[in-house]
Amino acid sequence: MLRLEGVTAGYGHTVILEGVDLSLPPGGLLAVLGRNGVGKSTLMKTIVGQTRLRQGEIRFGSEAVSGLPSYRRSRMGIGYVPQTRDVFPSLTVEENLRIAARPGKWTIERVFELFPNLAARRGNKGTEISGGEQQMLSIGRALMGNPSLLLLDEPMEGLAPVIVEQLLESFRMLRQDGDLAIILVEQYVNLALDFSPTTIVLDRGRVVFSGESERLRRDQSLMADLLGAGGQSKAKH
Amino acid sequence: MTDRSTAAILPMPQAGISGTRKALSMSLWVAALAIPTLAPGYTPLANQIVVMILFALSLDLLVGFTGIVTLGHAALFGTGAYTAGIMALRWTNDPLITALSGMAAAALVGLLTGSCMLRTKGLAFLVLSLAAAFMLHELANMATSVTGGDDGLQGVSFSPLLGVFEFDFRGHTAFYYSLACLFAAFLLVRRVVNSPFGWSLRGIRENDARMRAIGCPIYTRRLAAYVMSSALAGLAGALQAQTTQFVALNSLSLELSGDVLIMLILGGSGRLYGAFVGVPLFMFAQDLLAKEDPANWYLGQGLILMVMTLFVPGGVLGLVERLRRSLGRGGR
Repeated sequence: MLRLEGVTAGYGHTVILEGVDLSLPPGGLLAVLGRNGVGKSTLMKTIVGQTRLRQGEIRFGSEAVSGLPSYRRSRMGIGYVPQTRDVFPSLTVEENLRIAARPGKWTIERVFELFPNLAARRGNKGTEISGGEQQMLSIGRALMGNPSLLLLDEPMEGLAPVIVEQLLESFRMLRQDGDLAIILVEQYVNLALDFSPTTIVLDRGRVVFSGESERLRRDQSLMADLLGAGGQSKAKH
Repeated sequence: MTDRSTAAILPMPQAGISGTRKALSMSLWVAALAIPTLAPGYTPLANQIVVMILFALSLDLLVGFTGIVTLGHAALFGTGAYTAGIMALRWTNDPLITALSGMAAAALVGLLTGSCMLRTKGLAFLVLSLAAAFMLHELANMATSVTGGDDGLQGVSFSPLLGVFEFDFRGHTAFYYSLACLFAAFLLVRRVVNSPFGWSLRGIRENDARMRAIGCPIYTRRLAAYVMSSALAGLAGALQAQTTQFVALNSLSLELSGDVLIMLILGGSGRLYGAFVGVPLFMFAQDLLAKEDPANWYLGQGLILMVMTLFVPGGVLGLVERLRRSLGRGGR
């Protein structure tokens, strides 16, 4: 459903990704790992069309989307949850969700079922909820667009362990859904490897590992090599 | 079913406050109706204020709700005024037909200029809006045979409203007519900003990249807001022409564009009621300062504006909001 071929992209004159290939089947899962600043977020932004694509092609479904503006990609079914969450502060929780609604099986009721916290805060402004709730809102808003591919950029960052647990539970529910493909960018290595059977590792804008998550988990020296000491410490999470 | 059970036990947020606000709003509208009876001498000034509130309200849709700051909004006001005036002199002087034509003409100008200018944003947009307004001003200045040039359109008269109510010397018809138009426009704008379309405008104001990423075509949304705002500005211009029976070249001026922006910021933008607070405040202050010192009253006006911008961001309504919040916290 998603295929990147030789994608080189960046911002302005700066190139961040170089010759990235990846493919994801419908309903597939993929974890993206890598040290800080290797281009994980840029990869997500390139898929949604927020960077400058210099070379290569991005196909979504049967269409090439490389030249399409990001709102068209979103309407085709790419949902994006950015690292910054980007909740609209002046809108209420409910308005933040409804603003993104497109017809499909995801409705506001279903989002509230997935995240009961949000139901309780539906009248609160975007700034009047906790960081964890903002993350849930950002994910819920992406789901309201009824995507067939969901991009999650470090959703656990800075959240308390109990919230991380809640989010993980909701990810498991999404995974069971079956027809939603998910790409998860994560710093917590074990968490990502548990989530997805396949993983890619980025280093300096290139894909340096692509394969089964188990293979990476078993090979500690490869993991240390690719993800460094930081990756190791987070792997203990 | 979690959501319904949770929703049921939740109190409606801020129900008390919005109830008070509603009552206050209603009583202000009713009080406005009494102006011609209670203060007949002030009716023409009140009419001016009502027209300017409508103009500032149209600007609020852009500045406050969509985050489009323009210095050329008078171009649309002037288009409405000149369209109504020229039509009255040449074709028909029916108030409703000329007002609708003024709206349509301004919407068209908004569509044409907006579709070019809205490809930019921020400073570039500001400069383009200024340039477009200058060009229109100069055009009106040069086309003396149609617009009267620097002399403006004099002696523009309109037939009785709905064939019944004449635009009299006391200005009562004019005032009620303007007030009715403002009320209708207010209901429309309130409806729009509280609709999903209006939420998307606020989303664009706060984070346009994010709006794109959730599938919103922001260029078309911004253009739609611009055309809507243009039509309302055009209506305000047409009302000005009809109720003062005169169209001056300064209805297209930079000064007017600046004044309306100041009025809105003074009251508080993005709050729907900012125009209703800022316009009377500005016009009364202007009146007072001009009486004190007819030569240098701009100095006083500038000072007030600087103080407001530096120390009261969010305008008068923003100040009220903050006071209420801190009082509420103290009470708890």
